[in-house]
Amino acid sequence: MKDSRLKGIIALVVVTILAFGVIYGSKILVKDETGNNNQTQEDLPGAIDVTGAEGIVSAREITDDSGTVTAYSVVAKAKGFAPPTNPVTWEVIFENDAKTIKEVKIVSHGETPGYGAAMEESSYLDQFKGIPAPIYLKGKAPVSDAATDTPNVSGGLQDGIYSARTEEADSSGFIYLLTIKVENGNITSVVFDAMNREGEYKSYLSTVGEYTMTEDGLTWKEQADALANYILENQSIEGLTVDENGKTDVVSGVSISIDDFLELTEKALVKAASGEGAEAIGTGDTGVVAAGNGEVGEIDGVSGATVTTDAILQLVNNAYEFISAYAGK
Amino acid sequence: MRHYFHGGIHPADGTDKLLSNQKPIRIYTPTIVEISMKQSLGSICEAVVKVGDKVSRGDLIGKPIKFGGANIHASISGTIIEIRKDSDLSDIDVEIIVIESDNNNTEAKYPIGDYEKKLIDLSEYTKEMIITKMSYGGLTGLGGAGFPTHIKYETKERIKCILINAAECEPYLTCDHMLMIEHRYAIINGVLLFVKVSGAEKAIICFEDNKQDVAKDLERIVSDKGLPIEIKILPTRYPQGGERQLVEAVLGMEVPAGNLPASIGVIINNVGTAKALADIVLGDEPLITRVVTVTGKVKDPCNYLVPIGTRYNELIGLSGGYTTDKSRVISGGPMTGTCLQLAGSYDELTGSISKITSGLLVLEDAPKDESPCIRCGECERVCPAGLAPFKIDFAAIEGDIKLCDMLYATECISCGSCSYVCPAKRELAYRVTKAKTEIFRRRWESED
Amino acid sequence: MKLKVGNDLHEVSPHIEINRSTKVIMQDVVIAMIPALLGAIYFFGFNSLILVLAAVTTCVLSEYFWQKIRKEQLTVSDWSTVVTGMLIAFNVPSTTPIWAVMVASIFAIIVVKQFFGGIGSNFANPALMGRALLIFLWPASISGYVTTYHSATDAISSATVLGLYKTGSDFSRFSKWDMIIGNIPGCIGETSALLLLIGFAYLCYRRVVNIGATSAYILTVLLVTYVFARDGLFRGDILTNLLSGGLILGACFMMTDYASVAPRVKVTLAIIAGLITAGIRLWGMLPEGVSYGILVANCLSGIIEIIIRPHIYGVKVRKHKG
Repeated sequence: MKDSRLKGIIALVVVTILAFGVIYGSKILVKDETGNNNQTQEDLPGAIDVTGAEGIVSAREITDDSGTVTAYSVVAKAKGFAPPTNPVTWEVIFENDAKTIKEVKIVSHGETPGYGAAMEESSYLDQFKGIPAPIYLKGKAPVSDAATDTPNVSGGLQDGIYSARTEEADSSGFIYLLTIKVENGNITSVVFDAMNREGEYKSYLSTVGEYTMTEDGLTWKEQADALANYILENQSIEGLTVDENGKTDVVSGVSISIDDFLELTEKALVKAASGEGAEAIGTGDTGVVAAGNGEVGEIDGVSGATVTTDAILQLVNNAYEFISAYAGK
Repeated sequence: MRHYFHGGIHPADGTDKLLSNQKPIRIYTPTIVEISMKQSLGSICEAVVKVGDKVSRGDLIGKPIKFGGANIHASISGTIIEIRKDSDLSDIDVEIIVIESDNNNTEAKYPIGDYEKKLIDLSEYTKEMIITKMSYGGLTGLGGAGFPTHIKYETKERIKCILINAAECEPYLTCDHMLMIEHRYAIINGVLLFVKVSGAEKAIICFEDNKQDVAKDLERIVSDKGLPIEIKILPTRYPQGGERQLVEAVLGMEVPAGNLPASIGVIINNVGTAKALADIVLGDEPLITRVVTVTGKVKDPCNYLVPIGTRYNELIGLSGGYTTDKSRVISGGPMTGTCLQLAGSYDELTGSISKITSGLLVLEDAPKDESPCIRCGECERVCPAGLAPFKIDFAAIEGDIKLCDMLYATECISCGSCSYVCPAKRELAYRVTKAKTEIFRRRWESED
Repeated sequence: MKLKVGNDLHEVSPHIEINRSTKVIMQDVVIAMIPALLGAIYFFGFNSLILVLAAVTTCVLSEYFWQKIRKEQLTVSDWSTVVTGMLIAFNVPSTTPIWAVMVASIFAIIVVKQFFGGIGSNFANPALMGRALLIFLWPASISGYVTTYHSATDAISSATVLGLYKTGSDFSRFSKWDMIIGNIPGCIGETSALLLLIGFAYLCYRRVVNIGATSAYILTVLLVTYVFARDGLFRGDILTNLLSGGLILGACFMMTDYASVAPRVKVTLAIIAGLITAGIRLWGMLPEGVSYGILVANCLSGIIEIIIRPHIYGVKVRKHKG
C-alpha cells in the first residue's frame, strides 16, 4: 500500500510536469506564431516604424524590383462590438499616393455572426477598392468646397448636419441619438432614435412590435416622429413644456418621456449655432462626390452593426492618417 | 453461473500463506494435554472420568450436557492428573481435563489404512451406521464454529448437494491446504461418506484459485471414475468460506435469512471435517487430532499434527518463539480469531488446542485508535450480507437495538470485513455482532 | 447494553487492518488537488495561492478552536479540513477578497460541518455551502472573473466562457485548447480540465474514489445540455459544456465527497445532480449550475437511500418468517 502511494505520487509528479510542459509549450507556440508574424512583417523590405501610432499594428512599403514604392500596406485595428481583446483588425493597402485604397483584407475580428461579421462578405469588402481615403458612410461625406456655398448663417444656425447622443445607456440599454440637418439656416430634418447594444434601433423595434409602449397608443417611432415634426414646424424647442414626470402634452399622443429628446435637441442646436462639429451635408444617394482635392470615399455601413461600422471607419481612416503622414502627402 | 458472492475483500497479498505452506506437516506428541470440556461455542461437556483414572487414546472422557454438543475423547494415553475449573472468555466455568502421558509410544498419528491410499467401496456402510459413528466420534466442523456434524445430517430436508469448503479464505492459515496435499485419498473417501450419508446427488469441492495445485490433484483422482464429486475453483476472496457466501458463489443461490443451508438442500462441510469423518468411520479413531498452522512472527512457521489439548506455549516453543516484542497471539485466523495474548512471553501463554483451532498466529501488534466515521461506504460495499455496518454501528452505540434490527444486524456473519476496510479504524464487526447477539437475546426473552 | 468504544477494543477481531486511514485518504485528496493548484498559480498568479492558504488556515484553525472549546475529540490532524479549505478556494475566482474566503471557511467548518456533528456527519459538502453563502450574501465578491495571465491581453475582467455561451455571445477567442489546459477565466481551481483529471487519475489509482459517480454526473450533464441546446435539439456544444465551467472540478472532487453523497446510491445521486446542473445551465438564471446541482443531490441523499433499498443476503428469498 505504501508502495502504491509512492508510485502514485511519482507518476503524479511526472504527469504534472509533462502537463505543465504542454501548457507552457503551447503558450510558446502561440507566441512564436504571433512573433513570427511580426517578424515576417518587420523583415519584409520597407517595414515602417509604427511605434507611437495608436491603432496601427504594422505598416510597410511595397516596392517593385526597381525599389520604387508602388503601394503601402497598413494593418490597423479598432474596437468593435467584441471585447477589446478581440478588435477588428484589417490590412489596408493604399496606392503609392498614400490616399487611394487599393484593397482591404480582414486580419481578424470577433464580431457577432450575422451582425458585424457580415463585413466578411466580399461584396462588402469590394466597395473599398479604388476609393480615396478618408472614407465616410454614404450620405455622411463632407461636400466639397466647390460644391458648397459658404455656410449660411441666417437664422443663427449654420448649415450642416449636427448630431448628439446620450453618453450612457438607459436602464433598458438604449443610447439615444438625435440628428438635425440645417439648410439655409433652417432645420430641415430631425431624426430622433435610440439604439441598443445589439445595434438595433428602437424605431425599428417598435415598428415590428418588439418594443411596445401601450397596447393602443402610438408606437415609439410614431411618437418620435411627432416630436421631430414639432421641431420642424416651430424651428425650436420653445413651448415644448415638460411636466414633472418628464412628459409633455403639447404634442398630442406623445406619452414617452422627452427629457432625452429635449436635451439632445438643445445640444445639437448649440452646435448648429456655432457650426462646430458640423458634418457637411451630402448630396444624398448619388454616391461619390467631388471633394476638395479629389473624390470622396463613401461606403455602406455593415447593416445592423453600427458599432462594427464605426470601427471599420475608424481603423481605415486611422490607417490613412498614419500613412499620409508617413508619406508626407 | 456466477462465481462471486456479494462484497468481500482481499485482506492479504498471498505471501502470508507462503510462510507455512512450504513444509510438510510435522507430527508432535506432547506429554501433557489439557482438554477443555468446551470445544466450541455453545457445546459444553461434562467429564465422565475422574482424577487418577487411566485412559487410553480414543477413550470417551466428556459427554455433552445439552443438545448441540459433541463427545470428547482422550487424545493421548495416560493418567488423568487434574480436572480444574476455568472460566473462559465468556465467563462460564468450564472443566479442563489434564492427561499426562504414561509412555511415549502413543504419538499422535493418523490411523493408517487403505482409505489413505485408494478409494474405498462404501456400499456396506449405511446412513444410520455413519451417523452413529459420527456422533460417537465427536465429529464437529473443523473450520469455524465447530457445530456437531451429525446434527447437520439429521435434518429432515432433502439434501441435493454437499459443498466441501476447501477455500481456506482466512489469510495465513494453510492447515487445510497441507492436509489436502498429504491426505487426498482420505479426503475423497470422507467426501464420499458425506454424499452417502446425506443421499445427495453430488458433492462440490470448492477451492480458491490460490490452491490450484491441490485442486488439479484431486481432479485427477475423481475424474473418469463416475464419482459424484465436482471440483470448483473460485477467485480468491474473503469470506469465500462463509457458508452462505459459498452457496452464493458456487450455486448462485441465497440461503433464506434465518434458515440453515439445509433449507435449500445444501450442507456445507470443511475439507478437514471430511478427513476426520474418514478417520472416524474408516479408521475407527474418534476426532482426537487436528492440523494446526503455527505462523506469523515466529522463527519457524509450520503446520503441526497434534492431539487435541496440546498447549499453545508448547507449539510456539516448537516454532522457535516470537520474533517480535510487540506480539499479538491469535487462535484461528486473523479475521475472526480470538486474541490470546498481547505483548508477553510465550511461556505465559495459557490454553490449548481445541477441535476448532485452525491456527496459532503471532502478529506484530500495532496501535489502533478509533476515529469518527467518514461515511466512505467501504464497509457497506464489502459486507457480504449487504448490510450497512456504519449505520448499525451508530445505532448500537446509541443503544437503539430496534433500529439495529431494522437494519438487519441479525444477518451479520461476523466476518470482520467491515472492520478490516474501515479507514477510521472503527470496530464495526465487534459492535454489529454485539447488536446481533442482543437482538437474538431479546427475541428469546420475548418468546419465553 | 453497554458497548465499548475506543482503545478498550484493542483485542477484538479482525486483527489485521487495511493499510489506509482517514488521514491517508484525505492526504491523497490534497495531493490530487496540487496539480490544479499549481495550474491556478500559473494562470491566475500568486493571489490564488494566498487565497488557498487563507482558506486552509481558517478552516484548520476554526475546527481546532471549535473542538477545543467544546472539548471534543480533536480531528484536525485527519487533513479533512485541509481538503475543505482547498475546495473553498478552488470554487472562487482569484479576485475574491481574502475576508470573503475566510468567512466562507468559518461558515463551512463551524456551521455546515461541526453543527451537524463533525467529519462524516455533514449533510452537504461544506465547501459548496461556503460558496453558496458567498453567492447569497456578497455575490459581488466572487463574481470578479478575470482572464488568465496568459491570454492575449493583460488580466482584465471577463465573463466566463460558460457565461458567454449562455448568453449566446461570442467566445471564439477562447480556443478549445485553452479550455483544456485552463487558460480561460473562471474560479481558481476549475479551469484546467487537464490538471484536474491528472489529479483524479491519481485518486482512482489510489482507489480513494471510483469513476462511477464522476462519469455518471458528467455524462448526464453533457447529454442533457447536448439534447436541449439553446440552438435547438441535439445541437449543444459538448466540449464547451464539459470544459468551460466547474463541471470537472465538481465531478472529480465534490461528487465524490463521502459524507454528503451516500456511497451506495452515489450513481443515482450523480444523475440527479447532473439533471439539475444541466437544467440550471440551460434554463436557469445563472450560467453555472454545478454547485447547486451537487448541493441538491446532497440534500436528497437520505431519501434516495430509503427509496433504493439495499439487497440483504437471504432476505428477499426468505421462506419462513424469520
